[in-house]
Amino acid sequence: MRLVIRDIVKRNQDELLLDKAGYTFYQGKVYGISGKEKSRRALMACIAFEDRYDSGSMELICAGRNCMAPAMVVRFPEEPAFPEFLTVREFLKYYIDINRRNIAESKTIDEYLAYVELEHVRSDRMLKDFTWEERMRLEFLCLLITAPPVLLIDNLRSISNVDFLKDIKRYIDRLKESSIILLESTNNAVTVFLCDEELTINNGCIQGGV
Amino acid sequence: MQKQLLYQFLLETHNEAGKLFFFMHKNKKKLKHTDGTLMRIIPIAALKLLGMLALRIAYVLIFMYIPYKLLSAICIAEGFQLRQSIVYFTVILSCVCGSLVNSGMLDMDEDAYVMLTTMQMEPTLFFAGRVIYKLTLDGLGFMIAYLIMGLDFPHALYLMIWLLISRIVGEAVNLYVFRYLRKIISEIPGATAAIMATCVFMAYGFPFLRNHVVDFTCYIYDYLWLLTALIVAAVVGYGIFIYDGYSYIARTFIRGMQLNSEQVEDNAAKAELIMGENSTDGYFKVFEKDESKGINYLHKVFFSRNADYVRNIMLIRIVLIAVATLIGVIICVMSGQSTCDKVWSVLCGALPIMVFIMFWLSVTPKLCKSMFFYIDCGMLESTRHITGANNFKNYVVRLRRIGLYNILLAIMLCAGFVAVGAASGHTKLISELIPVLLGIVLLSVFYTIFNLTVYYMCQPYTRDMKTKGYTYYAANAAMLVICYGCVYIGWGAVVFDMVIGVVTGIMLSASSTLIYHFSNKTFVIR
Repeated sequence: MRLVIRDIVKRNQDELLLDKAGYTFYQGKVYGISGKEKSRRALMACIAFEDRYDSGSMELICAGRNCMAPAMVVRFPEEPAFPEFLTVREFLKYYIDINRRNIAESKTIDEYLAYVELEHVRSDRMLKDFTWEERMRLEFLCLLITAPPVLLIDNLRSISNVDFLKDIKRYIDRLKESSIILLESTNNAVTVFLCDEELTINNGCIQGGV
Repeated sequence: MQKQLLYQFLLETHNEAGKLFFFMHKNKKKLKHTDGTLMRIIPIAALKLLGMLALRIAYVLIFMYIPYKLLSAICIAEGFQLRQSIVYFTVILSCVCGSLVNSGMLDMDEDAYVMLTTMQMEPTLFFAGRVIYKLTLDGLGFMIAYLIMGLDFPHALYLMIWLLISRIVGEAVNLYVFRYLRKIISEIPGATAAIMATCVFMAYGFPFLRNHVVDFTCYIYDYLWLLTALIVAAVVGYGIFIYDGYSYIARTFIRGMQLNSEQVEDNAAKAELIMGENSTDGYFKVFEKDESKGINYLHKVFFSRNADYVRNIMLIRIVLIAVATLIGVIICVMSGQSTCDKVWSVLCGALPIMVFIMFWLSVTPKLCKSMFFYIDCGMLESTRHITGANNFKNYVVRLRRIGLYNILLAIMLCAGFVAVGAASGHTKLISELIPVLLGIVLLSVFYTIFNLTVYYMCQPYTRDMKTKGYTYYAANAAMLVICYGCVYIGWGAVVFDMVIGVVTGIMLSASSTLIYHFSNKTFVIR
């Protein structure tokens, strides 16, 4: 599976954010995007179908055909939000039920929770009482369950807990087996730690890579 | 103890005076060595005290004396004498309604929080002090008001004593309601509405219809009745002053104030949506092993955990229906045949006005707000792709659940119609009401569909639960205009039912189409 971006041009009034930007992103790698903030955000917004580009094309090639669609792209939220009146197991039951068609390998809820170190959460604890870190883990678990083809992670907060950062690295490494992951962060150290290939948007063009 | 009561008295009257006296006492300063601050505060406190007395006098004048004058002018027979009227209004409005709905002891506020936490006042003393404060002000205020209105001193004194007795009994009732429900009567909207509606009707409507007030003076000014009431008040008052649960009440209140400042923002819209997680037995039910799936499962858990909120909004409406039914039944029972016939004809031709009433009775807007807060806001904020098909599935489940609640209310209203119809003496003609009852049920279904459609197509809520967007207001305004127009329609009930049925069917298919195809664009966070 690969995401092919060709000659994307994006303007914001008089400012040229993307100038015939093009690159091919492959499944199995985490791409770190750096450069001017407006250009990075414009690229992410265009891929996520949140903004229109002025010209160019984007294709998601799966098994030889273009399957690019809004449903194929998931953007990691800055503040993961869940139905707060559910417990974590109730939420997972619901989430697994509504995504059953997209789940390749079915597991028990406790097995899923063990992926992200949440198996010891009390059964009566509601999601509204979850800390930010627990919500992040749960969000990653949702992504691990449904494995979206394209995952954009551009809202990672600055994470000071090194152990938690290592856990995120583990989740991302697991996700990349079935997804194309684009990552950008204001903290360059985090970007470098988490990604396999570094790209830069320079004068509207995507440069770099291994 | 006397000094603490004085501080409480001052604090209730004027914050600054109470706090200053308290801190002076704590620092062992003598009053005669005070500076100009104290000399400035005392007159303000005195003025505020006079203001509170004036409020009570104004209350008596506005709600008792003026109605007495109006009713005695309007009604032909001389059924409105001054003493009987004032006694009657006092009994109904102040002794019954005021004593139950205005608890001075348990009406907790910031001052109470300051006294219990900062000033570390003994809870028993605090609550007892509140009762004494309220009794003092009410006694003085009402006594002066009665004398101003022309009652002689002995009769005014007796009436004031009865008022104070009822206040003590009212506080005891509120204390026991609080003990079991963690709320005083004024915090239970349904109960408050019922008590106030009934008392207002009994105070003004009932005498107007009967052309005279009920004469309570034979009981109020009877020594035996007064002695009995004083004994009851003494027993109840003793129970209030020796009640040993005030510390628990104070702790519960303080915890609630602290939780509220941390957990709930100032936004009242969010505060009213707080979920009661535990069942009435106090345990937390988990749904992990429930057999329902997907969206049905999500809504099953939501409505179960939100049962308190759903119950409260249903209860308010059921109480209003019950009160209206009771008023209708009383009017029919106490009036002649011509009035009963008028009531019957109103019932049979009520469908046009029911279009308006069912709009307000529908619980759908409130439940949509709650669902947005707990389910949809998070869903819309997340990156999980929202499609019209997903929205439509949610809509179908919600239509079924909320429709049941609205149909239940419609059935209660139909029962009220039947009860009033039977009380009017037209039991044999009850079958003529069937088209009206059917229309009420159809209207409840119609408004469920309408409000859900407006929710999905005009989604008005922001993350802070404020309402925005002209489309939402425009849709509701348009419906209100239609409701108003329906009042002037002179169709029979059967024709009305057919039209409502057709419109409901069209609305159902139109809403399904709109939500399926367009809600992915319209159902977004404002």
